[in-house]
Amino acid sequence: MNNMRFDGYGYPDMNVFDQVFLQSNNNMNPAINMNNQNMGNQNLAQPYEGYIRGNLFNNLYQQYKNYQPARLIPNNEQAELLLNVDQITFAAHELKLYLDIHPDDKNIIRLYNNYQKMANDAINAYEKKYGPLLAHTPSKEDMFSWEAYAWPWEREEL
Amino acid sequence: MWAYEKRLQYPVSIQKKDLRVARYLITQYGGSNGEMAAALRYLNQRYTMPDNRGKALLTDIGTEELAHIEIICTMIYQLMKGATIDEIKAAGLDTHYAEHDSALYPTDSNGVPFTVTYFATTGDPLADLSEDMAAEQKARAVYENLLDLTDDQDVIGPLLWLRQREVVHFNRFKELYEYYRDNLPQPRDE
Repeated sequence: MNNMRFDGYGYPDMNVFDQVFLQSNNNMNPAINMNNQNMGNQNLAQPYEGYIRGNLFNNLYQQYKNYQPARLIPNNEQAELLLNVDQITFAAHELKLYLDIHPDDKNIIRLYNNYQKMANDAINAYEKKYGPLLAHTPSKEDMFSWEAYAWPWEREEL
Repeated sequence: MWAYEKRLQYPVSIQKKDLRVARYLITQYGGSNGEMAAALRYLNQRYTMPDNRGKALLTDIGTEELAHIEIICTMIYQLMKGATIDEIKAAGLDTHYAEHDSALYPTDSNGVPFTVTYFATTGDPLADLSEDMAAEQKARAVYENLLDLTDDQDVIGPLLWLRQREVVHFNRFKELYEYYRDNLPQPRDE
């Protein structure tokens, strides 16, 4: 907890993606303006909240007994960059499953495109310092990056 | 084709070795309601879905299930890491050890190996999607049983998350089922 940073990536109280949205969309924030569209009474959680509970859709969330989702708090920069990737790609994935069967929902398509753009940025930011996440990312020249960094089941500190 | 991403869909970091819990969890790898059965079920059914909605949803959920296999395997791997022979015997994993040492192998909690008879394809979208809805509900119930069997927060976090994915997938399959029921010409009486 001591080396947590609060430069706009603060967890869990503030979410950088909320800010990006508010800046880039102003009053066009599709996450906020969705209720009167064909989403009906559905409303979406922000990426961090949706991610930690495994469900971006508030109307579908179903708690088990008194269990609460684990608050994922990164305690180093690598964990923080990875959590950024995890949460935004998850949000995009959730919208993709929804769009698969509601392909005409233009508001959600717009939000999906925004999340995918942010996911690419988050992946690039991680890969620059901590090695490739995607199989098609080019390698460093002095070592084969793909195999050099820890594999997911061994990244116990993250 | 598929492209691997070198990260878990949800982080796993288990500090405490626990062979009993590893044995419980393995059923969500290779048991009848496990993630491998789910992945193979959807990825086989997708080819004969009647429109792009079904092809897309079964491809995307089937692909996500592959990532869930990796989460469960990582949990089992970390729970078993550094286990002694005595600990393995005490947990009843000695019969697993005899064939596999500490390697991953898809079985249920009783050591029964995975079999494709755990899932079906019928070519009938309503029949297939009914199975998919049931499969998600059964997997959710198993995750709840597993949650009842542990008090390790490192294990509970990922289990809760995986359980919630079953809830979301069930609802998506249900929506698609209802869409097909209401929109497809029905060759048979319902």
